Amino acid sequence: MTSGPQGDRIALEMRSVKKAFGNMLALEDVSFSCRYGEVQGLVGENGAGKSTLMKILAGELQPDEGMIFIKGERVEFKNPRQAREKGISLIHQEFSLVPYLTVAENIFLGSEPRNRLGLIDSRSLHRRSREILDQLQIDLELEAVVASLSLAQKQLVEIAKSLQTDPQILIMDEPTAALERPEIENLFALISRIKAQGRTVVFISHRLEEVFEITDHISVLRNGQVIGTFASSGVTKDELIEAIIGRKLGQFFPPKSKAIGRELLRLKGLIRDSSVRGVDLSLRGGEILGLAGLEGQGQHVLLRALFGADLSVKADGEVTLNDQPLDLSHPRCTIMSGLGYVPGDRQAEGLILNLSVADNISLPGLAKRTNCGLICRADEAGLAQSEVKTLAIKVSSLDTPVKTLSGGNQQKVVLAKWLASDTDIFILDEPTRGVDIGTRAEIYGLMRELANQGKAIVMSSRDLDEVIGMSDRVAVVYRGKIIREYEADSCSKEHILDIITRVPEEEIRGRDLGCD
Amino acid sequence: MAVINQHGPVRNLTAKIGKGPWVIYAILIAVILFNLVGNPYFGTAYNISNVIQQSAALMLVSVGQTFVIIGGGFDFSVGGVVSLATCIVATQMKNDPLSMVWAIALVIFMGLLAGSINGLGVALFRINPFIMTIGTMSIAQGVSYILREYPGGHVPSSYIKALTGNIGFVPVPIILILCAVLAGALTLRSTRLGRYIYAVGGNEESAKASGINVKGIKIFSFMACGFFTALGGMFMAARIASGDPRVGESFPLDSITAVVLGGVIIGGGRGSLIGVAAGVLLIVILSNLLALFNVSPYYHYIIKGLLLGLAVAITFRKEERAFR
Repeated sequence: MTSGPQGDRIALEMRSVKKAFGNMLALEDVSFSCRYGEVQGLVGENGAGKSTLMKILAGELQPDEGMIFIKGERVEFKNPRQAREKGISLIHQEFSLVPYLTVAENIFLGSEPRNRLGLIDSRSLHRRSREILDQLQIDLELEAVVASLSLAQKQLVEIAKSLQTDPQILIMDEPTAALERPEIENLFALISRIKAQGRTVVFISHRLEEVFEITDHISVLRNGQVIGTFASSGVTKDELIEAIIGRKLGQFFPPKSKAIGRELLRLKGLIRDSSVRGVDLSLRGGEILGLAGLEGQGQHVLLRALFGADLSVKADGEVTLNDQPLDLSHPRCTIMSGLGYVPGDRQAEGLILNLSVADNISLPGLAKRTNCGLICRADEAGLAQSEVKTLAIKVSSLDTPVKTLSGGNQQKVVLAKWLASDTDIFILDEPTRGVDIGTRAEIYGLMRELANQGKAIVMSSRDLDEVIGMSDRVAVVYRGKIIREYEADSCSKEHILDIITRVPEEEIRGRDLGCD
Repeated sequence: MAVINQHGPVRNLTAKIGKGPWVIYAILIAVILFNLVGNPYFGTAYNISNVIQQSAALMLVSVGQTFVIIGGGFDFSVGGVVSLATCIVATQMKNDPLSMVWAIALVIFMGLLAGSINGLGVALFRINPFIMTIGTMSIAQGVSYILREYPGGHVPSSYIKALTGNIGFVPVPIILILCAVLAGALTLRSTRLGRYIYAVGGNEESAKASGINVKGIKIFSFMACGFFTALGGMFMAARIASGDPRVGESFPLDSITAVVLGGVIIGGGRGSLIGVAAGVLLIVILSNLLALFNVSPYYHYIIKGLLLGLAVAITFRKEERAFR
């Protein structure tokens, strides 16, 4: 790539940045730099430290050690405002738009031009918004209410908003995560124009194909360290993946299943609004099936649909359990059929925080155990006690409210709920999210033990190592469909990462043709 | 490894007391002792029986209110339902047993109906419980005025005697209070329905994901409230020996204050009826004291309002600390 008007000058340098959260070292001596007029890619697994690094750059977090230089001048940002004043703008994955204001009002939110009376000068607001949109060749109505826009259009407003302060360095965190291919191409054209103005763009993405397409250089972060910075044209994708994943974590996971039983659950053409678009799957006793894929490809919705969560949206398709049709209309029905669900957000959906450990554990199985609606407290305590023992949950008493427990112990309580209610099929969404490493190993051991008892497990995780390490079979989910399935022994992480990050051209073409 | 019950029984007992609504009982006992000593009139048989008579209706209504609040809502319609119950009794009940059965059945049906309207609105149509129940309150109020434009009507003396008299030495209102509190406490503590009410009040999404019929539970909690409130209204009719379309006005505030004083958290999921019973007694005794001191009833409203604010602030602080 030829450089912009300001040549090869360094726009930004971060030197030996360190950051720890409690005992966890998020960044360990990271150095990172960008030139004017270039797009710098930043890649790495979840938890590698990308977001932390960029939040430090944008003043949202303060480093424990290290220095930041902008145009050669040392800066220390105490808050995002100071970073913005120095020309740095971070576009988050989550949008910061106000839904019921117009495009123009959103672009200038917080820095509205005012007239002499101190009132908002709406003429100037519109003129300047129009200038920003024109400059970027964004085709949007200034008066359109943001709530009425598509996701991709909101993304454009977000970018326009971030350019309103005229930043020199623009950080985009996963800007393509929610976009379709034509929209991504629009976005890339926009990034190229921003770059041509001599600005710097830091582009964070999991999709390596896109990173290769748009960036000039790529920095790889792993476990809080920079593994290397490569010229995008001088590195192969395989080399990059090697750098991203590093060593294997195989020994962390228990040995795989030997005895896989008969089919328990079968999904045929499961459809759920636009997120799950016709999934065929089968799940056998004694098996752990892992769903792999980038975030937001429908894994999460698929698991929820299978459990009958989100009653307002109906799932279509054929789901059978032991060859009998399975009623997905309410969790009540799926639980009665022997399904159990460990949600990705345990505090929101897995636990009643104010209730005690014992009450939480006994909750889903209560319907099967009560006598004429009466609860036998002694039985309940006995049951909870035995699960607490099995799972080694650390609590001072069964009457302790679960909100006082650590994340790992809370997660064990969620698992205990289903162990205590005769669950045959475990649906695990992010089974180890926010759980410390020791408890993770325990949960892995438990999962394998359940499978060895003949139970079936379907799990999804953002951590690809976890999916591959735990699963007997891996299904790759892409845009609401299963595009590939692998037996555990026939798949490597490199291969799967390659599949999920390479936007599978043939899939898109196939789908587009199908639509026509 | 699992660490459970390594403390001795004494430690467990203190832990239990620490969590229980003992503060409210301590206050209640302190208030009673203080007045037994300081106020010669307070301990007279007449005054004690007065306190009991005054407590019964509020106790019944508060038991119902507890169901709704633990389930995550609150019910303002209890006032209208109490008034309407007295008006139904005063207009429908004659001296023959058949009309008594008819009037009682009608009152209970009316309570359940009001509760199910509230429950359906809140659970199915997702109407805010505040809006929903003041709507129902207004409807019940209106029907009360249609039945009895002004206080009056005929309440059979046998009915009055049955509800406000004694069985042996024991006043009937005490039996009513005990039965209602025990039935309510048993339901909340030891039945699946009760547990589910706590779960729904604690976290609807988690409750749903544990297989609980959240809407059904909400409807049930409002119907339970309607039922107990109707009983409270029936007792009220006996106590005032008439139908009064405005007699229930103070019940929404009083019952919510009693429930919160009793340690139930607004927003749901925590608390017990044992504490609520003390909350009711405290409110009634405070009113009784103010009356004994000849404080104008208008000040009662101000004091009860302050009491509610204080009770909410204290339980809120307790919550805050528990989360830390």
